[in-house]
Amino acid sequence: MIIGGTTWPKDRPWIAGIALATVLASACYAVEWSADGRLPGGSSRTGFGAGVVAGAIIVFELLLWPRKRVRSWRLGSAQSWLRAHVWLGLLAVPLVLLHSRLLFVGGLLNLALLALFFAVIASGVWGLVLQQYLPRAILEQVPAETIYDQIEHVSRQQCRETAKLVDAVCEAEPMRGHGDAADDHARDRADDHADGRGDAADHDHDADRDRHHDDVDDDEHAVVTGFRSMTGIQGRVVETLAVYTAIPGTLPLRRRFFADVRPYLLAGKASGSPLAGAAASAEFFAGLRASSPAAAADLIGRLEQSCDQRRQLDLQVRMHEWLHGWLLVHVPLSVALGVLLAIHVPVALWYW
Amino acid sequence: MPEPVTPRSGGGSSREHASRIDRTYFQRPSRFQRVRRGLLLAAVVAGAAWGAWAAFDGPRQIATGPVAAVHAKWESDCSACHVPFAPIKDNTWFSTAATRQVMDAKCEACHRGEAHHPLQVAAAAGSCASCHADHRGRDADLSRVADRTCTACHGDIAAHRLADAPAGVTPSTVVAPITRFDDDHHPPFAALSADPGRLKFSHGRHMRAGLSFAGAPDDAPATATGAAAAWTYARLAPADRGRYLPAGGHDHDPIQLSCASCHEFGGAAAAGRTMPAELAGAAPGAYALPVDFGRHCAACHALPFEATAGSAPTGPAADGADAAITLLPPANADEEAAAATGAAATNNAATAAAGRVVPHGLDALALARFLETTFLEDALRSDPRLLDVGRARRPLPTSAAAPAIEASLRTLLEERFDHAIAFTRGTCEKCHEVESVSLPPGVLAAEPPRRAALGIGVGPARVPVKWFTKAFFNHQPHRGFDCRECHAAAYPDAAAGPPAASPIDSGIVMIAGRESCTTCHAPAGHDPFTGKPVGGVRFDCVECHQYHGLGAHPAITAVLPAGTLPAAPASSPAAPPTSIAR
Repeated sequence: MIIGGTTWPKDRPWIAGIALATVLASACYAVEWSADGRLPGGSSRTGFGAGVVAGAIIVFELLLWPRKRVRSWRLGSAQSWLRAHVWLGLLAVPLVLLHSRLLFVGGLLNLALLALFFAVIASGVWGLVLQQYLPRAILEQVPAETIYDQIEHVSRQQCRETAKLVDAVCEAEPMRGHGDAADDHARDRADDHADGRGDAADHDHDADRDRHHDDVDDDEHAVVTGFRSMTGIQGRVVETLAVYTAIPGTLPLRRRFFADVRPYLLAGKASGSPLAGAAASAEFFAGLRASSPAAAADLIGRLEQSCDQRRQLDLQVRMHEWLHGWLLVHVPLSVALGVLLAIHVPVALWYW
Repeated sequence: MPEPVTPRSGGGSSREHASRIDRTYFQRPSRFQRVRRGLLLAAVVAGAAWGAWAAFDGPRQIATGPVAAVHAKWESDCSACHVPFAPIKDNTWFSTAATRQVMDAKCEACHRGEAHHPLQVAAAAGSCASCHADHRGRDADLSRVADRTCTACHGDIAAHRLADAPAGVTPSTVVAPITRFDDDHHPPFAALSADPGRLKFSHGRHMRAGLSFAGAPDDAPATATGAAAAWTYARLAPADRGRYLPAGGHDHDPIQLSCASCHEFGGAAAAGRTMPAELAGAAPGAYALPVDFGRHCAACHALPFEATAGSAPTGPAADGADAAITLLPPANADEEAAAATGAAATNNAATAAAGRVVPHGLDALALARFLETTFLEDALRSDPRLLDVGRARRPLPTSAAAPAIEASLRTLLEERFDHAIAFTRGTCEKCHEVESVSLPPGVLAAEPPRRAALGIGVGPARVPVKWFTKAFFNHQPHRGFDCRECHAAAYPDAAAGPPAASPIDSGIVMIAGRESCTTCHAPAGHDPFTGKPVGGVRFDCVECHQYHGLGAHPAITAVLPAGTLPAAPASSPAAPPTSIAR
């Protein structure tokens, strides 16, 4: 949820309401503290009221999950729910402090509740902070953004297409025959299965293999992704390129591709390739241009572009993990908090 | 750039383009989602496991802290003090008189919680747990409540007591707010405002060397008598001399009394005395045992009932000098030994009679019978013919001689009795307020009714056994102090000579007030003028005051043999509960 900018008119009433509620609760607490001469506990009038309200807020916070899952529940927009989730969650903090006698509590259950509560709050605030910066950073720094879950699949697809292009443009290895091509297809099929495409991958590979067998030297097109920038708008495009005939003197290029570039296109930063760094990649491809025929410059450009795209996808992975990783803490702890809260309420009322 | 090969077809099918994206990816959980589901399941299991743990280890899970050591036996039994769904404190939304009663019944099963004061507003009292909060650790003192529990009412006592006082209860006139123990927020000690005692006594004289205002014996003439005569240990009976003579002292040294000469601390049993009811429950040494004539006065003060040479028990002289005090000579030689052994210093009536002194503490009737018995014995010794009184010489009961003997005996007895009463009155008036008391008719056996108003009665001394009626004090923690620090008025000014006015100073309260306490019982700090450290000793309300009453709990007395525990002092509206020793 982005706070500020166009959303400010919607957030301002929440902020004002939370501030007012906090001041009122604190004032009541201070009055009772002055009257009793000691910090009111959870069973006191103010403390109990704060606890009831805080508990209700926690229950509401937990309802965000089913609300988002059951989209047919039209009980306010999801955005409104999320906004209420954030601001009411922050309001729960002073209420819990008042209910817990400003953290002077005893008992393992109470301490566990407090620890869970503040861990949930901290993780939620952390996630909220990340949401203010990372989405824009992804938009600006990862123009080649794709669906996170499909990054590996897209990378393999891109690698396969790029390999096809290299296979068509570069000189073939000596004594390279159908077996080599079959090896290539087997490698590609294994990659696609790793993507989880299953039978669809088998069908595509069968089609590729058949096409390769029929037109092993007639791979006419390569579908590659390109990077287009127009009037400040950046984006990834899919291009279909006509395949050229093999360029003499490009065997080293071919070998460099399969040795250095292809592993990086497949595994990204995890391959440990120096191509993961922009400077090292530029140096690599500069060297490749220098050692390759001029006619292969376009191909080398394409390879460099593919590596750049892969770096962007690596960046997208990291940013995505940062942007969503806090949920691995926030959600489970929230559920644990809910379970212990359900235990705390009857127990506290039983002997209070 | 090589010549491009003419493409066979135009750039790939749309199916090929669409197949780039796996359209069913969202139907399969990603790694992120799988991890999150696993963590959710773990969270639920962990929460449920913790709940199960709490069910088996409730006290450690639920209690806000360990209970005090005195309640440690019930650490794991919450129901010993708590009632389900009933707030133990009364500052909650759901506290009612019924819940308070239920909760207080739990405490009163072992503790007695008498009403604090008959004028107390019941609704302002609060529940037991409102003042005595447990779960503050093993070392917590549950009886040491915060001052706010007291100042909640005593900060504005007029608004927190009944407007209509019950019969027999007089509201205190001290209504100033009491919020703290210092000179500005606590009134002076009301118990020390006046001395209720009716005893005539001079601390100034008794604390002087030689018990005289004349100074040291060396300064007094050898023939000095009366007020100018300084007492030495040689004038005491041997038994008393051993008790008063300090180590290394000599018989000719002037007697120097100290506070401890008359004010005994320590257990009553150790002193061979009976603990007075006012001090029941007090710790040994907390209060001084009452001054006892036989133990503390009789060594010097005999109680003659007949005038002898040198004795003039006519009461304190106008100039302050009291009459000479002498041991009366025994009536016969057989009684010399008894006198020499200090027999006159006892309250035993028979022994005292042998030493010609009247026992101390007799009421009017007992005194009259003692005197008449003594005189009858004297008469029988002097004229054995009195034994024949009433014996008939002739068959007829009348005798011309008998009426004459009976009449003379009666006259003799009446004269001596009247004289003795007057003499004794003077002896008693030296220290007491004496009044004439009418004796019942027929005091003397077989005698016609005596004249009225022949007896003397001595009013009660009314010296408080314990001065503070609404607070308690323990001398033992203060034993390191010199008595003068709090009882300076009892010490005479050594530089001053014989006082011009009466030395009787028993009307002066010789106990220092609040200002002597606040020197130490105050927040730690330093005197701004002298720089010396002051304060640092506890000064909370419960250090000196108590809320509840005394005595054994009815539940305890019901199972113990009768007489095992001292009876609780009667708590009447006119008598605020006394406090226990600390």
